[in-house]
Amino acid sequence: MKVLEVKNLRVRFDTPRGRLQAIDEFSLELEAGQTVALVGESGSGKSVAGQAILGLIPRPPGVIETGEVIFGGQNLLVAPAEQLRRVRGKQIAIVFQDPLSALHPLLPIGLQMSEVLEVHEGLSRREARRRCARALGEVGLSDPEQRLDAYPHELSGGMRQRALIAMALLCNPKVLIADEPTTALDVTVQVQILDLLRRLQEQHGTAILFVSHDLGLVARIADRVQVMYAGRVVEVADAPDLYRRPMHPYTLGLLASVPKLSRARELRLLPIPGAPPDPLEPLSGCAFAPRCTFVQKRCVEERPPLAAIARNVSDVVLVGGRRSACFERERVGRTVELPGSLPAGRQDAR
Amino acid sequence: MKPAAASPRWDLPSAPLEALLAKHGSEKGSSLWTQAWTRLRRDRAARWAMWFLSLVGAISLLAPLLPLPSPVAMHVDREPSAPQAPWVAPGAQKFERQYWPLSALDRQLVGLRQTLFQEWQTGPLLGSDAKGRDLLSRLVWGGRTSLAVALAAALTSLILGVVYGGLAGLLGGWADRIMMRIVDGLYALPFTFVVIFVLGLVGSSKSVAGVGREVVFLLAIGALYWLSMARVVRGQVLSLKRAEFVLVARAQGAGPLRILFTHMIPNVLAVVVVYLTLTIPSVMLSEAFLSFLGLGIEPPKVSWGLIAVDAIEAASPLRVYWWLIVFPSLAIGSVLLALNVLGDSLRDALDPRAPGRAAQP
Amino acid sequence: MSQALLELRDLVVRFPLGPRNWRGRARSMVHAVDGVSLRIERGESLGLVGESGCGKSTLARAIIGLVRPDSGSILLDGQALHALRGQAARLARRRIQMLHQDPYASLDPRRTALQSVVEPLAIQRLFKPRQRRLRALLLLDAVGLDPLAAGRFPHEFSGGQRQRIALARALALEPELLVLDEPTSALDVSVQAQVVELLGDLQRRFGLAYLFISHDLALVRHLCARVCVMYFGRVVESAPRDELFAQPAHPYTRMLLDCAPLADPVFERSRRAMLVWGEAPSLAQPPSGCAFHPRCASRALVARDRCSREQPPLLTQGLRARACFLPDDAPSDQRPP
Repeated sequence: MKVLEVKNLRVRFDTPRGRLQAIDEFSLELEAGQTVALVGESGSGKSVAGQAILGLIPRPPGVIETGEVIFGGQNLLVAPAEQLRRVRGKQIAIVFQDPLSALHPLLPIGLQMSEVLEVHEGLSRREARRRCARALGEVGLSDPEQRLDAYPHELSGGMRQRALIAMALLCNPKVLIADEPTTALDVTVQVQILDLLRRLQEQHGTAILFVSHDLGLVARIADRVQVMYAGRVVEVADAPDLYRRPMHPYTLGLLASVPKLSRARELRLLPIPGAPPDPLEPLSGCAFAPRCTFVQKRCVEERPPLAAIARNVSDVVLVGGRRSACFERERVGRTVELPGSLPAGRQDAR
Repeated sequence: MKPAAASPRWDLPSAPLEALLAKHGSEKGSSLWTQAWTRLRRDRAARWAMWFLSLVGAISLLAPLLPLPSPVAMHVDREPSAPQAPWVAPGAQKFERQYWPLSALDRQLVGLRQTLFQEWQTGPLLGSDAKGRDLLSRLVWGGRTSLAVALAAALTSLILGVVYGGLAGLLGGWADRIMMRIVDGLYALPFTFVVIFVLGLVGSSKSVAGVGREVVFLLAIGALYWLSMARVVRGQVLSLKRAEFVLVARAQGAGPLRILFTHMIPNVLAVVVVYLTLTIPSVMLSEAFLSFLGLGIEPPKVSWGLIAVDAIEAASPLRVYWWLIVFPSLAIGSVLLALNVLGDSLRDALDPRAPGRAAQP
Repeated sequence: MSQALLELRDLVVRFPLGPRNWRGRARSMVHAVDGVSLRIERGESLGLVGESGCGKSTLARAIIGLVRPDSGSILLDGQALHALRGQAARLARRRIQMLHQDPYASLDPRRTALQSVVEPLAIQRLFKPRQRRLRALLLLDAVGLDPLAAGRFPHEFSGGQRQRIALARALALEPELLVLDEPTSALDVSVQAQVVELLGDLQRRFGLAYLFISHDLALVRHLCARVCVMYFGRVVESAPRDELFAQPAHPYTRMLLDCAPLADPVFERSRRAMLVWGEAPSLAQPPSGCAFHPRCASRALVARDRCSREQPPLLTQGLRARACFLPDDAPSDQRPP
């Protein structure tokens, strides 16, 4: 059941140095209980996409050129402010990257959390407190009652992020947008947070939009992956398909340049040569062409559309199937089947 | 341990590079100062402020050359006259060459002006005061004095503040603590009164310990403002001490002097410049105030503070000599406004974190 | 055994907790580095892995000389660094250089790339002034930057390029050991790969030794021949790369490997959830005995053994070392409490 749908979103920023196309032709479908990951490096537009859904893009200088964000039967982009406020926090929640700056430093977290409940569900302070304590317990914080009175700086990074997640899930939203929620955390804490998200998803049926640059994390949590480059979606696929057989040169390059613990013999990273394009100078043709090893003449002249990959000739475009924005996708898909990545010497998952 | 070689051990072939350089020559990057200048120019308010201040500065410099009446020539028998439009009786009066003792250069300029304009002088464009002196001329000459004093005093506070604050920041430890406690103590003093006291002591003597009276006045005002500058500079220096690139330089063996001059000072300069631009208005006001009290500039020399004195003295319940109040206020107000606008814009222009930078992902 | 290029013996670096009183003493001290010993041979790349707070950055700064160790010694070619003075100290410092994590902060924003690279040469008075410029340009070229762009300022470069400038600067004095403190953490994945490959090339070309500090085990595996794992200020395991990854011998190493994200969704999903227990303890309240024991997966054995009472010493066996009382193949419990 589709819970959120974004159609053809285009966002640009008008800066004193020119027009910056942040995202272009961005589409997304999110089903209940599903996790879709937006993967990209800096400048790919993934964070802008996540924030645009909730109308968090400052305008000016941001301008939403076209597109729809369909949630609960209405287009959030044109919804009146009152309506939008009712959706935010209650039906669509967002967890940001840095818990220290997302929390008010001078208020105890209990107060910040209960605010959400008091505003959206009209609960009394005491009721709200009880719900908050329960939420904190659910995310794995010990002594939840006491934690409610703690200030953000008294908690560790991992605990703060858990508190933020608890706050986001208080009203049982249908969609949770997680914008690089673990980037600032240690690797052992990252794993805990990811597993927490998955567990909560199983319990509450929340759909998660997971924005990240880390392909390893995404592999752990995502059902479907959308890869972004220079403001556009370049590949969409179910996670196992994407990792096993990428069909876009950028995805391929990205996977090859990620350091792995795999059993594979080769130990050289294969970096993608060059650098992302300047967003102020849009290229004609494919944005990745200057760095692509599969590039053809056509790629430089025409921009490849994000088109479905048919399983065979008679297949119609499938919603939820694979898509790739590359003219050479078949060639890319045939190039390599990435080896399975069990760590060297480890026979089983411990 | 073997002695280090003075010649490189690593082989980096230089021929291809030299050929490349010969062909192209390297690019010039745009420093933060050039970028700041570009941004400043694009800022409309700053542009106006800069033009205005340049105009004021030019007029002040060239004051002796302008065909203005004497700021000193008094006609006590006449009533203060309201401003008259320039086309009404131009050149009605003849130029009277009366000034306070001028410097050699100024005397020459006045002589040049006489050659150029002969006896002609502008009419009472802004009116005249109770003693029959032309207001426009007094404003121009007064501005000259006020601006000069303001600049000099601000520079004094700059030097004092930078040296003291920089030293405190660099030394750190107990030296820094003591120095800052002194500053805290001085802050607590009702400084204006101390200055008034000191200047009162100096009284009407022409010089104190060989230093001209006016210089003492300058130093006194500068002494009012160096405290804030010292604090600001110290804060900057302290945060720079911990900056990574400073640590890198230290790790490479740079001595404290090199770090100070190569790394610290250029990075402190931005803050200092902004602060200086914002200090000048305050200094001007202080000067006006002190002159108003009779402790600063003395007649027959004129400054904006003294013009204010005349305005007050001429106030009477019978007649309102509005021009004596309006024009000086406009003059001082607009210069202060321009300086503040410029300082504000400078601060934004020099801020490396402000949007519009040439940052790339 | 030949002389190691760099050797640390029982290095201890302490920081005061809370404000110091007028005599300079603080209420209690935190042991950021708590008795670390390790060796780096010539031309070897040693990876130092640990999470935040384990002391690896402090260790790096102590080696570079930005932080004074409280006890223990740092030996360069057998000579104690802190015992040197003046000219000898300067020459010694030249042989160790550092690359920092934040490419934005490690370059002076008011100096051009060229000036930043020339500076170490000027400080140490190498070459004639005119030759320094050429040398700097050659170095920039060697790290993959366009030498014609050398007149630009740091803010005109991207993060990866700034890191290259910092690298060229670090190489200017022809060091024998390069300490790299999380040099790629602030960079994008594809840029990270470029920098790591560059580091590998430079090592082969100039015979550099690396101390590569990172929290990313997979990255360390690509660059380093030996790996040390740090926890709470101490080295808990050290081994040649392949052996460490194939047979991790310390429970913490195993935990890190379990948590390291793999780019394989099928495998990731099949991994058991909750492989990690608890959080790293705060440095102000060190656990008794082995610092890791509250989180150790082999709980049953821990309860019986001395783990909570004594600190296990780092014992060397051939090329490997580990600091753990439990036997190598201790079973781990199935689920966390």
